[in-house]
Amino acid sequence: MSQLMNRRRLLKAAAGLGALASSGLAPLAARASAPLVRIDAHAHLIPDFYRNAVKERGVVDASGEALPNWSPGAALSFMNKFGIQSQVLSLPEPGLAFLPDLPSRVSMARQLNEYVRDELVFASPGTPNHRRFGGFATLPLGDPSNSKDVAAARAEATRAIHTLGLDGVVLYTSYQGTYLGDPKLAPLMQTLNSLKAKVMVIPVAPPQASDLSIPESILELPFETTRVAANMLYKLVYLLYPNICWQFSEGGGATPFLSFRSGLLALNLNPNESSYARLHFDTASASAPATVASMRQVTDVSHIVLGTDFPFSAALYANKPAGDPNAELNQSFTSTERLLVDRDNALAQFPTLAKRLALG
Amino acid sequence: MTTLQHQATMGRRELLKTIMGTAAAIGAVPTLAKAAPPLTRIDMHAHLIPDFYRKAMDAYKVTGDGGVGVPSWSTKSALNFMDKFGFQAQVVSLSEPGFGFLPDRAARQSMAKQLNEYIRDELVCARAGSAMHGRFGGLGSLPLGNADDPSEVAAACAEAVRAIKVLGLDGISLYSNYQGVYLGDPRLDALMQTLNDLGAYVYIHPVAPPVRSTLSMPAFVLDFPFESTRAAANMLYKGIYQRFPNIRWQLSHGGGTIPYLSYRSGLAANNSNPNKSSYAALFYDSALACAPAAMAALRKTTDVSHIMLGTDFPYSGITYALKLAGDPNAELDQSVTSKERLMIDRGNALAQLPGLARRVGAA
Repeated sequence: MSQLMNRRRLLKAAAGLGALASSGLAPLAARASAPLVRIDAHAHLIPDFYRNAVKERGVVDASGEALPNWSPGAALSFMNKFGIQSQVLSLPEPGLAFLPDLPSRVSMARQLNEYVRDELVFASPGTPNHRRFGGFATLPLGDPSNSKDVAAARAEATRAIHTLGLDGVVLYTSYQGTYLGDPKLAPLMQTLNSLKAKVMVIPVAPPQASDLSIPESILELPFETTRVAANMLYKLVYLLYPNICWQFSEGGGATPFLSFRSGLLALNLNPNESSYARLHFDTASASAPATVASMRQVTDVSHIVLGTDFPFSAALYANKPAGDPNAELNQSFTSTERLLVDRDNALAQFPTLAKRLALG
Repeated sequence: MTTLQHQATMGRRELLKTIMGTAAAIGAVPTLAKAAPPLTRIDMHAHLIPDFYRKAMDAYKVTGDGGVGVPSWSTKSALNFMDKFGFQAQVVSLSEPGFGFLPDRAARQSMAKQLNEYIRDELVCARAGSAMHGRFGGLGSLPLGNADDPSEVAAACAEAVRAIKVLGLDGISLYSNYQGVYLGDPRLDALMQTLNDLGAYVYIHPVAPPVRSTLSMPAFVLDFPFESTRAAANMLYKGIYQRFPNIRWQLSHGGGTIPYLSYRSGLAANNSNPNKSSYAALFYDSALACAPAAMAALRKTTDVSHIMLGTDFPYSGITYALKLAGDPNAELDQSVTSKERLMIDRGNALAQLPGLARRVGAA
């Protein structure tokens, strides 16, 4: 809940700044639309039935604001403006944690995943959504201590990949205080490994946080991502389940920067050979030269994919002219590498999406 | 608080034991006898643990029942370390847990005075002819515990003035938070004003966060760099860097994660330019942040003149014990030129600490 409020505050602040910066410099709304070549590997969907469920449970702030606006049409406008052929959509925080019991989570997860298949991933030819979306599946996991919860998550993961044909699975950094890497989640990891699943890790607010007056989204969320990446390293998840292909959102939190320090406990004493090299990172909120420079020291360019965090970042991007959504990336990548980051790396990670785009 | 600090200490010990085990396993025997390198480097992140402070920790069971809760330290072991790695001087400060475990303001004041006078008498102003002469700089500790008590803040202000003006120490050492009150909090504004009036060089060391993650992991691995990040970002949001421009800040461990999150954490402070870091004016030591992945982000965040060599001795003693005499962090050469390396190893520190420069005969 609080992370929703906080993210809104952040984006308001940023939007206010944009308004300042662009005083007398109105965003170029009408401009030749960019050719649609990019794949956005970090973008969210917030369908109305999910938004309503969140609202019903009171996951809004005092002024009654809810999650940011989202519709397939708004996503397409954003994509057209920034030359994005397809977004691979995931459910943002708070995920399904706010739902009170397993049956309601199972029901919502099924509804979400079928919506993603019917309306987005497998939209009929001739509709605007056709070939414009990929989708990560949502799992009904709430309480990892409950083996029924874990079993239901495994079943839905299998259904989403095998039956619905979605492109991957989303996991959140923690579930009721249980972090990814915890042995309670081993059966789920086994299933994801068997599925050779693409798994995106999205941070949720920590179970408890210090009462620092900084919005949690700014620091605590990347800290959570970093904790999970390290915990899975220590718990040997990457080694035990080598077929899972991990995408850590937002540049992995601060994982690349702390790769040597956090690798010490895993007996990784060579600063040039990080155990995190096999992970994939998206560039959402992580496109600045300082961030990418660190990322590039930890992993190969083939492991870095473009991400926008739409629609949470909509205010930031609204101030940009049409075309390149993150031109600052050109300071960190050659034009050839940029094509990999913007498109090819994602297509290699999402072969089912590549196939739907008639490229695979 | 005591329990948390204990956990933090335990974690660090476990790590070092682990590393020790690895080294033994691969059969790497440290080379002990080797020609000593010339003494040119300045170590900007090093700690002292004098016996009277260790005894106070023991008295309050801050080290718990584990025995060696904190590493051994003596002036002699520090000098041996410096000689091995070519350090002319270490600028020492008290590491965590600081004085938070002492029961009241009087006890904290007494300990701060004793510690700062020890730093002056035995280290910073060691008489000519002693082994310590010209080998140490020192940062003063402040008797701050409860930031809600204005008299504590006033005592911290007074000790800061005394440490700089009377004792002649090189700067002041602060912690990321005091009983949950982070640097940047308005309750500490009076202290910031004093430090600003002094034009002080102020070093920030992380301590265990007031709220620990449910994820069990030694605090120093991630929680410490997160703490440095929280403090630095909080000071940005609270306008500390602008309101108190005469304070020169040094962040530990490459800034925690500040360089990596500089753009993201600057957004709410109205910095939407990915090329302009809000943190460029700060200074950063390289302790546990020498790896290319950390240095790459650091170099994009600030000028090389703001980066300084640090070792975290004696907490890092075992990792360095495995290294050959000579360069303590040869991996830095992958990130900087040899000319820049001289700045990081020496010139940048002496430029910021003119008192030290004088004492080591460099000014």
